[in-house]
Amino acid sequence: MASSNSGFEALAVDHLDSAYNLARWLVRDPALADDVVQDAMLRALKYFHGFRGENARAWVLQIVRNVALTRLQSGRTGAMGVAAQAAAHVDLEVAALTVPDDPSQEPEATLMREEDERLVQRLLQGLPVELRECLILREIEELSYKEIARIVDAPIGTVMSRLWRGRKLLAQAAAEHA
Amino acid sequence: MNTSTYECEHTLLVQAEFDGELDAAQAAKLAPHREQCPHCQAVQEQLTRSRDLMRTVPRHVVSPDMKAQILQRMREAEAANASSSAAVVSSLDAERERRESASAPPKPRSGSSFSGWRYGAGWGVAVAASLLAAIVVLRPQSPDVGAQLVNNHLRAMQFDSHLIDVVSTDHHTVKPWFAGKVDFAPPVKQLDREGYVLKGGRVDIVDTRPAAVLVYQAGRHVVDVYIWPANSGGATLFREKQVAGFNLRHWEEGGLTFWCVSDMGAEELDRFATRWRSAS
Repeated sequence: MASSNSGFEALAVDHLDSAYNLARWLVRDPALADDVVQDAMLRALKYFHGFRGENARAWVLQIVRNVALTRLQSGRTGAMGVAAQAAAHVDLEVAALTVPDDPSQEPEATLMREEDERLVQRLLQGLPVELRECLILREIEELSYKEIARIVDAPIGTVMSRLWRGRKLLAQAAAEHA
Repeated sequence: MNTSTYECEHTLLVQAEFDGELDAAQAAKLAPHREQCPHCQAVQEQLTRSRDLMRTVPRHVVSPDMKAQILQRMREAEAANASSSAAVVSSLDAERERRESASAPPKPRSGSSFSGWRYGAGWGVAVAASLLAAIVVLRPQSPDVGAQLVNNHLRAMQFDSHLIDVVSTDHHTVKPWFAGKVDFAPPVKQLDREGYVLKGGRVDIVDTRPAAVLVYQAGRHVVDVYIWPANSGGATLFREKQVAGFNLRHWEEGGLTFWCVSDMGAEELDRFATRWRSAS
């Protein structure tokens, strides 16, 4: 690379989708997720000189997560996206009982499938954030336990246990709605 | 959380096996227990069920607008710290390259039924391709075979027609297809049981000579296995490498040289390479 900056740009572009996906699923609000990613990338650029090149994606996602959680915490009292605000107060049990029926529901297979997919997304959004992030990182970003442990700043055993709890809750909740 | 929380103390081990986190020895040790433990079988079912559910969940990807905006802000921050004009020039060159290839329409990837993923994956490939272009601009004389392979892999992904010349999930069809196209007999292996589906093969040119390429689908990822005759006499070495976010694994065996190229994670590609090598 000709300079450390262009090196960072390549790295950032490489992991932008991962960063955004994690941010979206953490804060559950598109506009807030935009902010989080912008903020995280500028922060990553600032600390890039300290990055030793070992696992760029985990490093970027760690920053994204820290920014997102800080925003979520400050957001609970201040301005927060409407969607996130609504979702933030729904825990899984409540979500499982109050998933609203879609009035436009039609008995067509594709609509049913879309319905199911939306239901899964709502159930996932209703999971506690520490379980949700493990599921997203493992199942969508396909990261290893070791990488997830680093990103969520927890021992591998804790990651394994959260992952199992998250999966079990999701599977059970979906079964109740089947 | 202690083990008493689980109905069977092997629960997290079953999950680790499911996630491909156990090595072969550990997995073999777990297998007899899992066969006869009803709790572990229920765990296995729930793992499968939750994975099926999660497969319907979209991966959110940044819009081109937002990407441009982020790069713009980063560049402004960089400009504030710019130390040499040369760095700025190469950065601009890289960006022009990136814009040119990013303007190509996103290419859908096979094997996914969810349109959001298709877009995301296609766009990811376009970005990776432009990234590679950026690297080539910065290092025009790169003789690196790894970069060549990633380049081939990307080109194949972009022009779907060349991803696979012979479409078949049956190695009895793929193997004879190579006869007469390359002057060696590449081993063609089926790994369906491990979750890697043989999609077919093609012939690429690497370092001015033809190479056999096997294409495997692994979940959302495509793995290319490049094979050509080795220069050295069959020493087995295993090397890893990363180019533009793509992982590569390389070894030589039985007078042939092997390279696996994929956008899957490093550890997953290790798993693929290990299983591919040990398959018959």
